[in-house]
Amino acid sequence: MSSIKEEIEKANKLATDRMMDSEPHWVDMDIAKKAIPGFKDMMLLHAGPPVTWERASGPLKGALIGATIYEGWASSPEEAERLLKTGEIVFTPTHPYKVVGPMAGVVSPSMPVFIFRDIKFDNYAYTNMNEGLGKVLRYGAYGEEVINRLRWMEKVLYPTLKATIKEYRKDNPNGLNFKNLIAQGLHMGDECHNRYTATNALLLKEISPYLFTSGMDRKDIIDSYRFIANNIIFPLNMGMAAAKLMTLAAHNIKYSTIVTVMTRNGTDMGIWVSGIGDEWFTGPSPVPKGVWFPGYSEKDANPDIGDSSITETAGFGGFAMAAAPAIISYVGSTVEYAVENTKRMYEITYTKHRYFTIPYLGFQGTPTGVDIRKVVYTGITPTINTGIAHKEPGIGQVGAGIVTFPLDPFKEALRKFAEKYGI
Amino acid sequence: MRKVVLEATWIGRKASVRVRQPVINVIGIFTNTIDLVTTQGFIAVTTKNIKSPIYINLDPYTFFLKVRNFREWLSINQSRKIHVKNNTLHLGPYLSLILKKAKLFDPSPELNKLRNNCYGVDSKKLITVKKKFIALSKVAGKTINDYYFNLFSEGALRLYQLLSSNRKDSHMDALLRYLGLGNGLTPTYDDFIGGLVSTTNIIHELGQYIPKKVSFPLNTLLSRTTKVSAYLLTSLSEGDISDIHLNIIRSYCLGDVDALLNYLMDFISLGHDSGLSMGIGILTGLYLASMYKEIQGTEESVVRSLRMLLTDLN
Repeated sequence: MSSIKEEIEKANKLATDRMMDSEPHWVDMDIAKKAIPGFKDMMLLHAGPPVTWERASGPLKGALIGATIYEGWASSPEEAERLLKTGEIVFTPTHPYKVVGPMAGVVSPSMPVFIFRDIKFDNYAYTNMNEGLGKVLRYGAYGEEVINRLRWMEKVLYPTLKATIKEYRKDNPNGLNFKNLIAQGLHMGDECHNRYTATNALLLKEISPYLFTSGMDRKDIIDSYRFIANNIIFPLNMGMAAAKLMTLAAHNIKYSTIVTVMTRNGTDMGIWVSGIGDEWFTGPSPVPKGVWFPGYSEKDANPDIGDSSITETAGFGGFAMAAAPAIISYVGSTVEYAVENTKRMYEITYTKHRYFTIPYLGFQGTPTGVDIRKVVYTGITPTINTGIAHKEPGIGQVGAGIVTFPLDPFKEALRKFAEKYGI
Repeated sequence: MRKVVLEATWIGRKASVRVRQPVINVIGIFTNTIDLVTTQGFIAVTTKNIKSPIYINLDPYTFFLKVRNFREWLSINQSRKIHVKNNTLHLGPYLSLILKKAKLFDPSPELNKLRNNCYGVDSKKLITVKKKFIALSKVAGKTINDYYFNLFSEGALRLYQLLSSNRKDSHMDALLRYLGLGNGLTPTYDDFIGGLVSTTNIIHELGQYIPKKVSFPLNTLLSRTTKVSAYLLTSLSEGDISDIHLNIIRSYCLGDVDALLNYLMDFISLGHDSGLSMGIGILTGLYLASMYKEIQGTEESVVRSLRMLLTDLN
């Protein structure tokens, strides 16, 4: 009979093999309530672990208010707040719905979403479209320009991209292989969390012929192309959906101590562990250290927020910072730090990625599969890079930086793991 | 190589006195810690994320994540003299540490709140905590060699005899007999004894259960173990404990078993087996306190009870 240690080793190998072998493809687009199983009217999804309205952070409140107005459920922020406060509108985490969203990560029923399919393990994941930087819903802004942009995305960008992917699949029936884009992006100076400059160019190169032959209105095609080209982190949400599928493939494996969700709601950060299932282990979300937009400083910053740390959970993003020295100009610190952070993350991960490699480190695989045992053993917790939202609702992004997660959720998870398996 | 000047974020009250001397000796350099000693005592300079005894705390953001090359980068070695000028420590050619803005940290107000209000945790529950702590350490990948288990039992018994009798010298000698045994610059047995004695000393200072305080003779320590360990043990016995250690004692006093285990888990990551050994030492110290509270037994019953705690370590 195998010892518990052997069972854990076997389970972790299986989990990380599945994580790396997952094949996420962009296959379609649809309206959220039609695409996402279990999504209902008068319901909003948000990033991070569950939180009450009273404990919700400013940017999360702002985004929930904005989405309520966008849906037409309220005509003013005050009315929206009342509906959210009283529970007439339900808000609940994205991850149980296989949805991910950056920053506040708010997805409402009428929002268009990307549909991703893992063609290896036949899972689906969903994400909304990226609005760009600055005053945007995901950072808690909900002014007129924010709502108007969302409406344009729904009316113009969404049908254009839907037609594009349909056209693309005539030549590529499985859809667009996003793992390939990430692997290439890592070789071209992206880490595929906060830097997607190269990957965005690759994405446009890949879809442009199909965008141009999609049969959509010429102006809509040009406007959509410009919107994507000018938004250097447009692929972020898609990269997150891909990462969600990778980690989903590693989830719910008996005895596995690999982390399959790391996420933040601006108040708490939370994790899931493969061998434990959908149980949240949470701790206070830390405030990032970083580079500030003009006029803002650390005192304006909200604690870290967003599902985007799913990228690090899947073995890229901040864990691959050594591949992306130019990220430093956006998130602060030094190039040496970026390299050192990647090296440090090897100490808490189970393996090196087979397909995501870092040229600067001799094409070494990225650190993959955060192992709660190693986190507790070393006292080192995951360090990621991130955008920074203003702590008040309605303002938006104020900077970008680096954040290190607290140890407590990993300790709690290890305790639960020991309890569950009778150790 | 670029010189880095850092500002310490906080400093222990005792360390703030010790660094007033113009020359300080380096006694150890670890991956995340520099251990220094003055004629007045021991100082550890550590990074923010490290939860070993913390006396001067550095924000690691600027460069301290380069810890893997920390020793080489510092270009200092044991016995080197560190100079203090204008409230600044000059650590090797590449690092200066400004202490001017460091906030004074003194754990005693926290402890004072517990004075005469330490309800304790019963010994049976402490055995359960021990089992869970060992199991969790094992899952995380840390174990203690079986060989040390007997030494720990004997050390705990010797401390009990030292606390309960007037034959101070012979019991002290027996307590320190295995000093220096184990891995690293703070050997396994030393870590256990450090956790054990610092804990019983603090419980005694809180006016609870433990009949007296134990002081280590520095010269004996220096003759039996490493310099780093000797000074660390002296400091620990004087009450220079880390914030995590303090939290464990607070949890014990408040009867919060869950928090006690949670804080103990922070020790798992320290050193090769230092954290685990010290954690067991602390637990044993708390167990002794509970035994004093619960029973006034014969020595045989105490021996049986201690063996119950320190059994099945792996």
